[in-house]
Order: sequence, then structure tokens, then C-alpha cells
Amino acid sequence: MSYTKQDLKDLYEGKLPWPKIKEIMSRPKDDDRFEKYVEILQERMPWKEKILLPIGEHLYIVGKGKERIVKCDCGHEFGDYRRNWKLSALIFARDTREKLEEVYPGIKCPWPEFCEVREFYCPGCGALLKVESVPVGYPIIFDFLPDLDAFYSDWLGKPLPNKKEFKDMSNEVTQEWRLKQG
Amino acid sequence: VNNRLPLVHEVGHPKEFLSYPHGDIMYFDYMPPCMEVFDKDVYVVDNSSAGGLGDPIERDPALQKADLDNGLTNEEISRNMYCIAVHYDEKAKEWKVDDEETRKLRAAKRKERLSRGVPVEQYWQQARQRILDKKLDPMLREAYQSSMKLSQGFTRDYKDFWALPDDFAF
Repeated sequence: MSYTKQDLKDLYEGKLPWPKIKEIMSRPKDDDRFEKYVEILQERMPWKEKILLPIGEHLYIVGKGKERIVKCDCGHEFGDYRRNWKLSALIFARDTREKLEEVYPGIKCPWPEFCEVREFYCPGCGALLKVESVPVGYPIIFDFLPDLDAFYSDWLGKPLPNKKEFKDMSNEVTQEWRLKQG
Repeated sequence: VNNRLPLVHEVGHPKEFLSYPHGDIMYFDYMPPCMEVFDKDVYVVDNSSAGGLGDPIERDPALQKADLDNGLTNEEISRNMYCIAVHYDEKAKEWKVDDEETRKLRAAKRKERLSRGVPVEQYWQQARQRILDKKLDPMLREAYQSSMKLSQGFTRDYKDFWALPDDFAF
């Protein structure tokens, strides 16, 4: 089972007519969707590093040399994919009534004593990459740490070179920050 | 109800709580208390709609125009949330998007974000200090403390992320 690349491209760009979308939805998943989808995304990027996995509207895990890093479509690089990319982003925390009211005017406004809305921006292009709404003092959420090696070898049947240990390394970043403080 | 007026359904500005019901309105901040209700009392839950996916300033202006033409949103939201400049064309009786102005608004918003956003490291140092000083609302401190009592995993993750001393407790 397979669809043409043009159909998948139109689907991605929201141009595929509804009857065709319905047909795709009602059928089993096509075998080469992932490969074609990644090809379509790759052609849109202004850079050459190979996309291993898209992880957001703007973010991709790409292979760079022997490393796997998170990269924005604008070209900004966030570092190893096992370290939460948010830690290398810019943050704007809505932690006062005034800042929260811009998004939640009037009675919908959460109480800043309890709730904080964190916006994460790409330092390269200023895109809003993610928003999280959490209790004050909550750790920054690591949305998704994919087991890339298992995905490529067990699901796609094409193991990736330069195997990495499947491990969340985000807290190493914060440990480094603390040591800097002394 | 007797006059067969429309139900209390409306799309409106979130700041203006339901504009047209008549009679006595009792307004609750969040959970209403236990109370007796009578025939023809109306209980209204005023909810905002769910969040969307992606960066609002990348929204297709054509979709926003359609929402405006259908009365689902307004000029203020278009400009402030989506950075889409619109005006109502009285003659054509429809909303028009100003593409050039929209492009400018969006570029300005990106610039604004880059200047108001701070490196997460800086944010983390301040937030960590606040936790060390236990300057959180007492209810939140209690909530975290009870989560730590219930889950070793949560305690470890929490202390590791904020690089807190082993003996830290709220």
C-alpha cells in the first residue's frame, strides 16, 4: 500500500481534497508513509542535515556528523536530542496577572500564585515552539524523548548508524548550571 | 423559557460574561456551592474554546477571515493573537485582510519575542532560588510535598531538575 508523493505533499500542505483524505483515513496505513513524509519535509528545509524524526511544527531531530541534534527549520541548533531542547530556547514566563491577561482576559485568567504559562521561542527566528501551562515551581516538561534506534531498527527495519544510549540527559544540563553558580 | 427565547449560547468576548440573560445572575468564580435549583433556573458553564496547534502568528489569514465573516472572532483577537490586520469592508459586507500590514505585524511580534524571551538558564536560576526559599503558595508547597511523599520517582525527578540538595523538603 502506497500513495504518490504528490498526494502526501498535498495532504501535508492542506490541499488534498476531502474525498481523497477520507479514502486515506479509512484505509490501513501506507507502508512507506514515513519515508515519503520525511522526504517532503527535507525538501522544504534550507539546510542539508538528514531529518531523522520531526518532533514539532518547526523542530526536527537530524543527523549531524556522528551526533543527533534538534534543529529548527530556520537553522538554529538546540544540541543533543536527549537533552530537552527547551533548555536551550528562550523562555517567556507569564507569571503575573498582567502577563496572563494578555492571553486569558477577564474571568478566564488563572491565578499567578498557582499557575504559570511558559512560552518557548526559537532564539534563531522567534517562532513560538511550545507553550506549557504548569503549577508554579514545576520542572520544565520534556515533551518527547523518542527511542530512535528502536524505531529505526524494529519498526522501519533500517538501523541507524552511531547508536546512542536511550537516556534522558536533560538533568545533566541543570547540574552544569548549578555548578556554574558554585 | 415561556417566551421561547434562544438558549444561553453565545460566542463573545471572553471579558464580557454572557451579555443577554435577564434576571438575577449568581456568579461563581470556580466551584459553585451546594444549592437548591428551581424550575426555569439556568445553569451556565462559560468555557473558552480549546487551544490550537502551532504558532498563532502562522495562521492562514484566509481561515481567520472566514471566522470573522462567520462572526466567530473579532478584530482585536485577529490583531493581538494572530497578528493579522483586518478591516470590515462596509460596501462588500465582508472582512478584508491587509497582507502588507499583516507581514509587518508578524515580523514585529517575532522581534518582540526575541527581546522579551530570556535564556532558560537565567529563568532556571531564578525559579530555583524561589523554590529554595520556599516562596511558593502554601497550597502548592503542600501539593508538592504530598507528591514527594507518594512517589520516589517524582521526588528524584523534581530534585534532579532543580538541582536541589538531597534533604530538601517543602
